[in-house]
This record gives sequence, structure tokens and C-alpha cells, in this order.
Amino acid sequence: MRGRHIRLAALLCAAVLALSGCMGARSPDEYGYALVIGIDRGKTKPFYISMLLQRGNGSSQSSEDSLCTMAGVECSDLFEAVELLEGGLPYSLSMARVTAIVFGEEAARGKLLEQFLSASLGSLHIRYYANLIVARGRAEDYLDGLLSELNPNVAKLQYNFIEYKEETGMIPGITLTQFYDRAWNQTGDVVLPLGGFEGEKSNGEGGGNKSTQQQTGNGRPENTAEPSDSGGAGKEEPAKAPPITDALSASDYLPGQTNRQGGLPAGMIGCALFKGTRLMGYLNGPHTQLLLMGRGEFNRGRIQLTSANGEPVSVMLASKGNPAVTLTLGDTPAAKIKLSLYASVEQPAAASSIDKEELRRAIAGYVENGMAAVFAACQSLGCDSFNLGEHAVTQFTDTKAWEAFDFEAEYKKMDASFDVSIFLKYNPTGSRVE
Amino acid sequence: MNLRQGRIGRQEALCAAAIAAGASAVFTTDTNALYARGNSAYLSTPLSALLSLGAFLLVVRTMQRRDNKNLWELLSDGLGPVFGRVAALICTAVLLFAAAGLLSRFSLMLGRFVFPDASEWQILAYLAAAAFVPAWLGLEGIGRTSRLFVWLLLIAVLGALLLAAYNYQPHRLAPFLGDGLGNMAELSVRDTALFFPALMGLLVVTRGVHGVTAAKRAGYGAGIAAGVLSSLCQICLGMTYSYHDLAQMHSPMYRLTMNFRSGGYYPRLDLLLMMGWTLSGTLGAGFYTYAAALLFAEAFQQEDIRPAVAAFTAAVGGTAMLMHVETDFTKALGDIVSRYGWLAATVPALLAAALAARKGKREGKAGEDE
Repeated sequence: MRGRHIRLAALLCAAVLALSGCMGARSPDEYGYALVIGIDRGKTKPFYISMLLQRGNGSSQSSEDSLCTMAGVECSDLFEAVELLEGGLPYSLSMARVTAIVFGEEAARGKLLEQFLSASLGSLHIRYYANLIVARGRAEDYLDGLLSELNPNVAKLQYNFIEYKEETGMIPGITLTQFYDRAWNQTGDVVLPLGGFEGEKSNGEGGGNKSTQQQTGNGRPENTAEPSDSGGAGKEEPAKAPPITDALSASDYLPGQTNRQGGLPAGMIGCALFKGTRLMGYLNGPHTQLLLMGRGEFNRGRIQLTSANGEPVSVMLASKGNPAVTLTLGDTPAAKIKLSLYASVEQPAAASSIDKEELRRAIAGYVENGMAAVFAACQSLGCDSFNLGEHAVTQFTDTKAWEAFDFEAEYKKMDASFDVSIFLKYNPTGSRVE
Repeated sequence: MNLRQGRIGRQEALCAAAIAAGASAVFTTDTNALYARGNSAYLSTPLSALLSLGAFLLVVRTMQRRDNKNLWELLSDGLGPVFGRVAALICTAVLLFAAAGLLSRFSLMLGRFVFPDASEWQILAYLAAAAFVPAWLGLEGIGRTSRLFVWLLLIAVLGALLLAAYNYQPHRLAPFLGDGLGNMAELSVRDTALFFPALMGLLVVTRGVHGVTAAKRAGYGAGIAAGVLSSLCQICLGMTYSYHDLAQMHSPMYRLTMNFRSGGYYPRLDLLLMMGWTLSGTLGAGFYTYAAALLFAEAFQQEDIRPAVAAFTAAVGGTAMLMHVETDFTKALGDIVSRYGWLAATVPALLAAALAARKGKREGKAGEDE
């Protein structure tokens, strides 16, 4: 009897293991994996979809074919893109390792983003933790900028990206799941990290639609023609929409605006503000930090203040818990955001010459005024980037009342106040070495 | 007689019923009905479990008072031999429908997310065969296999909830009462159809689990375990997705596993977790099919259960396939089953119990168990 049960258990396990997809007719090295997908407006079809493809794991010991390759195609949707690209690849294309989806500026400000994301990405095995990025200009240029000898394993990009977000607060982080959650509901609007090609190849002017071209690794296109200067997709439109700009008219700390040499040609700093599924504006890096503080997504990051004698003072801020939001709805809607931060001055000598209370007030003032300015900019664009909707919905007990409530109208006339408490890190000796 | 009951202990009986009820409640919910008008599932699901346990308590108490050895005896005692057989057929259909629901949902999940190139009937044929084996081997095989795998299955479900925890946000549960108390009550009643068939299955196989009293204890344990687990899943799903999104997902639990925190190996665990879930689906479907075959065999004096098991497995596979066919007729049928399935699941047993209870306590061997 005992043997019978063991046999039954073994049989069930074998049957179910085969169903789990852990074993298949193809081995993993027969696949090429799409790691990053770029979405742009197409010239003859709605989309131009580009992908960074990688075989193997991209380690330095791997063979030549494990380096990254870029491929792109004009198509009606992602499913067609996969079919068309597979026709020109020596391996099967798997989407199971997509770590990021990059939207070009034009795609993000029109209906393309919504159209793209309304498809069932799960049926292509795209996992919902993939990060989303908006690229200034065209996404294909941004992907091009990721190809480099410095970056043999594009799969690791996602870890660096998350790390950068956590360490600096200069970019937000958002996954597909979070996008779906926010973009189609009234409980707040999404902000996406802002990327760009540092050389400003196309700068939103339509870019070069390198239809069905392929590049091999290390950032050198096989065809020598400059990829993005020859005009392209977006130029066909009769009336060109005005370019998306920084919501606070900042001109620095944006992709392509930093005076950087070396590294990857593509970079990320700042964020893209969305209303629903539409791109509305940008914020630069420091303003993104302030926005993330208000959203409760700030971990740590550095701000720059100027001392009374004009010297720069770097202050490292760290989160001390989520902000407390008090929301009042009705005739005079108001939001009060209370926030606590740890602060440590990174020039202890400068710090020791300033009164502690004055320093605390200066830091709190910078954060409060900055957040108020960012809130006003977001409000003027109609973007609920501080996610006040998620606090509004908790004031309703049934769906009918919530769906009948016009939060958007309420948000437009909302007053916001910010109350920031700063806790200076203890450094009694003013030591330079901590 | 070849009814393949054997004898299993309370733990085995509890595990078999809990796995069947848990798999049905976690994986076969009608997401559109449950979430389209707001999310109160995290409250209505435990209420459904409680209602099912209440109905189970009423039926089992009557069985003890009337000295009915199993569900068939209660049905014939309360409704008479003719209407008792009609009620037995309805209960058999309910059990088979519960099995088909499991196979249909798992074939959908596997087809959409794991084997997009395979057709649904191929996956269903595979799953139906996997459910047929435990049903064919009988209660003892089902009970002991369930006991063996119960920890693995618990880990597969709780592990998924734990790994997705970084994304939980309580505000996504708001508005907290969904579409109001009326809708929540309606959903609670409707979803008894997810819990009650497994408990009813226990009442069919009482002889194999050492009598009505032992079945009662196993039923309580199974109902509570399945209720707690499915409620936990609903809270976690509700904190991950808004009700708008949930209403559009056929397999929210699988979507949860595609959303683990980036980095490391966790993101690739979805297929392994799926293995555990599929195991619970096939075991649950096997339990339902076996209980249906046994009830049928007892009601229609069949000496051998095996022809019924084989025929019912084919019927379950066919029904599951039908659930994938999108026509106006199947849609309307699906809507009726979703809306009124609970009536078919609970009314025959409750009606028989009510009518039998009116006859008073049967003297003699009442309350005695094997």
C-alpha cells in the first residue's frame, strides 16, 4: 500500500513538473532575450519598436555572440514586432527577461503608450516588474546609447537603475504593475524616470527611424549612416506639438544637460510627469527629489545649499518614514503634507560655523518651498503627482460614491501646505571623518 | 463492491477537503463578478466560508440526529428515494462542475502564461488525466497524497504572497466596502459555491473517514483553513491591484507572481509556484470527481465505482473545454452558474436536512460512528 502511494506521488510530481514549463524542448541557449524594449512612433505603421537583444549572460568570459545587439522594426503592435524580428534572427526571441520598456517622447505624449500597454504583455511572458522609462527624443536613440563595452550585461541595468534611485532620489522607479494601477485609476498619477541620449541625437525632432536595421554590440552601428539625424517618423505630422519642457523651467540636471564626459552615451536624471497615460511635462533631478519626498518614495539623496558667505554646502537627506498626509475635501479642498527627514552636512567645518537651528530652518525651508513649487507646477499640468487621490479614495466607503466624485476638479482648486521637520545627525566634534 | 473508499484519518480527510476548497476559492473565482463593482472580496470571502460552514453544520447535525451514514442516506431519508436521486444527481453535477472549474482555470493559466503555443484541449487532456489518476485510485490515495503535499502547497501559496509583499498598499482596498453592504452580502452568498462542494464531498465519503463525527471535525478544519487562506489571498490581491484591474484579470494570483521584486532569482519563481498550484488543482479535481462518482454509485446502486470515475473524468474534461468556448449561450450559462450555482450547491442538502429533521431524532444507533 505504501509503495502505491509513493508511486502515485511520484507520478503526480512528474506530471505537474512537465506542466510547469521548467522542462522544454529547447534549451535556454537557443533563445535570444529581449532585455530592453524601445517604443517610438513609426513612419508607415503606428509603432517603431526597437529591442536590445542578448544571448547568454553577457559576462566577459562569454563568447562574442553573447554581446548585446540592437534590432528594430516598424509594426502595428508588439506581437507583430516579435514575429517580424524573429524572421531576421538566428535564434528564437524570448521576452521573459525584459527589464525595461522605454517610451520615446512622442509615443508617450500621444495615444501610443496607452495602445501599447493595453495589450496582454503577460502572454509574451513579459514580467510585470519591468521598469518603465521615458526618453527625451526617441527611445531607439536611448537604447543605442546603452550599447557599450562598459555595459556588456544589459540585464544588470535594472539593478543599477534601482540602486541609483535609492541612493540619489534623482529619478523615480516605476514598474508595469504600478503603471497599470495608477494610469487607469483616479488614485494618483505616475511619474517615470527620464532618460536621454547625452549627445542629443534627435532631441524629439522625430529621430532616425532605422527600420529593421541591426547593430551589434559595443555601440557601433553596422551601417555607418548616422541613425537619427535624417528626420523620421514624427516629421510627417502636419502640425508639430510644442516640445515638452521642464515644468519649472529648469535647464540643468536634465538628460543631455549635464556636462558629462565618458560613460554610457545614455543617461537618466529627472522624471516625466503623466496625467493618466499622457506625458505632460518634465522635472529635473533636484525637483524630482522633492516630488519623491512628497510621494513617500524618497530614500536618500544629496541637496546643494549655499551658505551665507556664498559657499556651497552639500546636505545628505534621508527619509525618516512616510509623509503624513491630511486631506480635506469639500468647498475648500486642502492637503497638508508633514514630513520628517534626517540631514547631515557633508562639509562639517562649514556646518560648525552655522547655528544648528538656522541650519535646520534653512534645510526645511529649501524642502518646503521646493515642494510647494513642484506641487504648483504639477497642479497646473493637471497631474496628481503627489498621489493625493490615494488619500481621497480612503475617505469613501463605497464605489458608487467614489466614482461619482470628481476628484480632478477638486484637485485643481486644492491648496497644499508642507511642514518639514529636520533632524540633524549628531556630530558633536565637527569631525571631518565619520 | 468496489467503491475504493479504504480508510483515512482525520488529517488526511482535512487535507483533501481543504486543498479542494482552498484551490476552488483561490483560483476559480469569477473575477469580473467579484471586483467589477468594487473590491469587498477580502470581507465577502471569509463570510462565504462562514456561511458554508453554517450550512455544513446544519446538514451534519441532521445526519447525526437521523443516524444517516452518508449524504446519500440523508437525501433519501429527507426527500424519498425518487427525489433523493434527483437531488443526488444535482449534487453530483455540482461536484463535477467544481472539478471542471479547477481544470478550466488551470488550463487557462497554463495556456496563457506557460504554454502559449499549446492549444487548450491539449493542456486540458493532460490535466484531466492527472486528475483521473487520484480519482481512480480512490479516497485513500487522494487523502494520503493530500497529506503528503499539503505543506508544499501551503508554501507555494504563502510564498507567492510573501514575495509580492513589497508592493502591497492598503489604499488599493478602498473604497473599503466595495459596492456597499448589499453587494457584499450577495457576493458572500454566491461564493458559498466555492467552499461548500468540498465540504459536501466529505459528507459523501463519511465511511472512508470513520463516520459522520470525524467528517464533521475534518469539515470544520477544512472550511476554516480554506477560508483563512483564500481571505489572505484576497487581502494581498486587493493591496496589489485596484478593483478596476482585478476585474479584468482571469488569474490574479499568477499576475502576482509575475510582479516579484526585481533582482535576484525571485522573479523566476512563478513557474515553480505554479507547479504547486497545479498539483492542488489536480488533487482537488480528483477529490471532487471521486466524491461525485461515489455519490452516484450509492444513489444508483452501482457495485463498481470505476466506470463512473472514468465517465465523470471525461465529462469534467468536456465541461472544462466548454468553459473556454465563448458563445452567447456559454456566456449566459456561465453567468447563470456564477449567479445561482450556490443554490444548486446548497439547497438539495439543506432541503433534505430540513425535511429529515422534521421527522425527529432516529432512535437506536444515532451518533454512533464506525
